[in-house]
Amino acid sequence: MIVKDKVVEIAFIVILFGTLLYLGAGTVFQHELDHPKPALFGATDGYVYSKITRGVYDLGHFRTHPDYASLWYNDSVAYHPPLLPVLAAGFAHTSGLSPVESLALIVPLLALFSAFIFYWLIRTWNTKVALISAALFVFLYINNFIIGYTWGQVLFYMGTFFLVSLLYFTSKTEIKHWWLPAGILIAGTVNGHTPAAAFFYGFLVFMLATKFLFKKLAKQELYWWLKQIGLASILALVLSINYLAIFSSAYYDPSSQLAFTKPMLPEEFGSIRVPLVYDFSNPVFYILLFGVVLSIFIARKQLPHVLIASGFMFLVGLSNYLGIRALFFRAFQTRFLWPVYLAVFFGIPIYFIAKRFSKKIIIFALLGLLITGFFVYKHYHPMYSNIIDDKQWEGVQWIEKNTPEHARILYFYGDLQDQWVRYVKRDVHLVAVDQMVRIAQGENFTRTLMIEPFPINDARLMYRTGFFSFVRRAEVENITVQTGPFDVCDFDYYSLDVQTAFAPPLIQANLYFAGTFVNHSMSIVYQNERLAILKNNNRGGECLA
Amino acid sequence: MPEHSLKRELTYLAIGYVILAIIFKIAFAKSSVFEVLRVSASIYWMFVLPGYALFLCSKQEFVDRIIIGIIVQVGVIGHLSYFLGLAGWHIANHGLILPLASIAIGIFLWKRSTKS
Repeated sequence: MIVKDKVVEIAFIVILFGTLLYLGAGTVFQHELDHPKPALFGATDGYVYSKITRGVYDLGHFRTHPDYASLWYNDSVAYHPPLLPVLAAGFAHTSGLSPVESLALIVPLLALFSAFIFYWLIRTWNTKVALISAALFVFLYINNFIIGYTWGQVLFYMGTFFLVSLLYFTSKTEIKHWWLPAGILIAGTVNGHTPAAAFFYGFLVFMLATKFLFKKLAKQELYWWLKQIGLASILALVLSINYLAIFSSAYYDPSSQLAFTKPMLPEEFGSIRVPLVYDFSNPVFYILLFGVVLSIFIARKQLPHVLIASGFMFLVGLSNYLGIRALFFRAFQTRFLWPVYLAVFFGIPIYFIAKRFSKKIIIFALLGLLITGFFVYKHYHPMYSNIIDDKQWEGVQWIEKNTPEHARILYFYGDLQDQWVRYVKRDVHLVAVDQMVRIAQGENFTRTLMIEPFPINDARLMYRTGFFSFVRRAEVENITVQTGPFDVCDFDYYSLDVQTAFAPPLIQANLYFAGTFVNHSMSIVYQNERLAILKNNNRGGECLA
Repeated sequence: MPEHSLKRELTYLAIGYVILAIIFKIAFAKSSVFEVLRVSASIYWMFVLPGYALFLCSKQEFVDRIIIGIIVQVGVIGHLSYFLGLAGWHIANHGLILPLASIAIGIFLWKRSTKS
């Protein structure tokens, strides 16, 4: 009987894992691992991290960014959390995938592993609840929850993987030398996505406080935790000290654009579409609320570890309402994993109803799969990016193969180009879209236009002068790394789209520039139905008058 | 002293690989069999087998050891690869060689625990 139950559960896990892989990564990849172009993400962030991963793949390390991504400085410190770019680049070399494909595959795999680690955490309390709860995982790819993946919030998934691992690992206190793996996992949160480390320590405090409040924390257990966490934190610090030194200079500078300074509600937040509890749709929303209430009653008797973990992560997702400014964006990000964190609240009410009719594992497994199928049928819409047109990509390939390595390239308006053009392995610039709109509206202009450069720039081309000391080159040497005035004639090559699905007036402006450039000693060196690439034979000379 | 049946558990792992490859072939149906086998083998080689080996010496159940092993191996290979890259060893070979190190350490710890 027990063997039969195990077989049923394994079959359930295999079917659900396969379904989620098919709906998530499978759909985004359009069911093909190998792609002619890197159009797997749908927004800027995805292409930033694709560029970073490509840099690690090429350079072989994550010490500095490649010079083509740093305005040709070869000492710009790689300042993002290192684990995901390193893992994705290493996986690309091993698997034969391109760096972008590797990144776009590892991220959903991390989310799926996180989901099934959480399944196992629920299962340590109640297998039948776990089987039903797992149906909610499918929301990872439904409504706004999928945005975290397709828009490229990739580092979040790396940090979350280690955070979920720690939530699980804190239930495994019987493991010998617990602090050793825990230290590696804590370092993983720091070097994967640093806010996840803060959430883990927050969880520890929450867990101990909850146990204390429910009178389930013995003094001996408290000492054990303090000792183990102390040792684990020391190990984590050793493994993270290098990145923490970089992090403190790159992200904690008050002038950094990454410093959040004002409160925000979900609907006010522009950078990502923030998932709401309502995104689970109406019946699920009420089941979740009922599950939360039931959980409080259950906790009074048993206090299962998974309820502490889920309760804490639910509160983290709502922490934007607490008014702690540094938490706003992180609270919104956390919600991308709500289909995992809140799953147990979904499973509990249905379990209590279903167990009145049957106690067989197979019934709960079938119920879980049935609910999953219902969610897919009712709510799932396939989503894949394909934001790079084939002909646009042919232009990029021509540039990467035929222009000198240090060539300075200026892109004019092209549909969705502002999202992905940074991926091009050159010193790439783009005429700001609002600048193009003003030109199309007839505004007078000179050869100085508002143009956006695309170095990896949040840390202002920061370089290292000592273990704990860094200099922000762009600030010291007054280098423009964000949208600003540039001389339009001071570029080697120009890429101008001549077709559009969205903005014909901007293409008219492109055609005007192309004609004027050709009259000023520029030559067309490549063209297809979509775009033309011009070579400037007199860089810095007159190109407009 | 852990008394896992190595032969039985390696059979489980082999079956697990076949299942993973089949799932990948369904999810990425337009890819060639070779490509699917290579990608799923890379996942197994970089994360699953070393993770399993690292916790051979633990007294946990097989599935618990696999789960803990994989999550710790992701941390181990990620950190090692990062630091070795900083030290100047190109990342290209890390995915092939570093898992061997985890497997070797895991087997060493397991052998030591079976002796004691």
